Amino acid sequence: MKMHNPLEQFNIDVYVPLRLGPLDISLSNASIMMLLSSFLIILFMWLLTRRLKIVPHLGQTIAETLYSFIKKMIEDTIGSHGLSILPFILTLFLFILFGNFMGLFPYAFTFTSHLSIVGAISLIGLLVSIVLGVWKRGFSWFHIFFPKGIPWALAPLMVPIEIISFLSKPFSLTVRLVMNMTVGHIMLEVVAGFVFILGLAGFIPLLFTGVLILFEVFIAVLQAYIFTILSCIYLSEAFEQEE
Amino acid sequence: MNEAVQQNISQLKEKISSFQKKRVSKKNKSLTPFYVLTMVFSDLISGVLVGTAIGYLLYRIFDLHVFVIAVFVLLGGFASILNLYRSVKVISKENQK
Repeated sequence: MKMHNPLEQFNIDVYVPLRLGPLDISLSNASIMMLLSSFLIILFMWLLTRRLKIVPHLGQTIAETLYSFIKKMIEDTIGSHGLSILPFILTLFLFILFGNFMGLFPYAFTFTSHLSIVGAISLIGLLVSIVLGVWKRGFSWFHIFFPKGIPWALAPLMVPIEIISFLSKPFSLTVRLVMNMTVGHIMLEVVAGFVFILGLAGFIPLLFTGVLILFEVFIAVLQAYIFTILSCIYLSEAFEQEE
Repeated sequence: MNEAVQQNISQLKEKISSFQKKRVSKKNKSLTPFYVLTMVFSDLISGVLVGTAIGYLLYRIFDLHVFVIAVFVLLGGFASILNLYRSVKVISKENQK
């Protein structure tokens, strides 16, 4: 019996080829999953906050807990003056969380396992950090590339190092999430493949697959949290200069 | 009556401090060795890769000597270590909380 290729699950399949001038806006499994994820997030939040009451019902409590969790994260990392970016951080968290979760369903595509998709999300975070930093502090924001206390003689060495360090942050965020999702799904596919190959003894890998899925659910939530909190820490540099 | 109230207050204080200790240990569970390992790995390689990419771009665009790539790979390595040091600082702050 041939083993199923565990890397096939990461292939992008185009279902409806579309073009808008030079732009390729084809509907692929990745874009469909991202659209579905966005739709589900909007539906989920709308259903939870449909009838707001002074004494909240369960749905309202879930929405308020989510909001408070992100608010506390921003207050702990950036401070109360960073609450203006709460909508962006909450959107980021929910998008990554739903993407990670939906990839665990059969026949679903994990769009957070692709460098291009997660890289684009990280780059958006970097651009927000630069735009906010320059908007709030003007060109004095560029002093982050030459920290205080460093002698001028070290500037030719420190400035390129600080620029590379700044640009490598979205890359490390991307690699961390993509690596975790890719490795987890490969392991699931390989172990699940053994269920059929081993015949009657296949219940052992079946049990292990169940445990792996539970672990992947935990990793899905943890990675969404780590991505969001690190984005907050990187964004705090745009606000820190105000103090 | 006062003794009973005092006893109740001290029991309540003990319960509060035990719940606070449980809360602190729950917070630290998010910083598992698995998370630290992935953080170390991603921070170390990202700086080197970005430095290499910048060096290669400068080499191609301005037609400079190949030595530029080596210099930026080295600078990328230093930037990786700097990123790692800053991430470890954040983790130790989280642990202290």
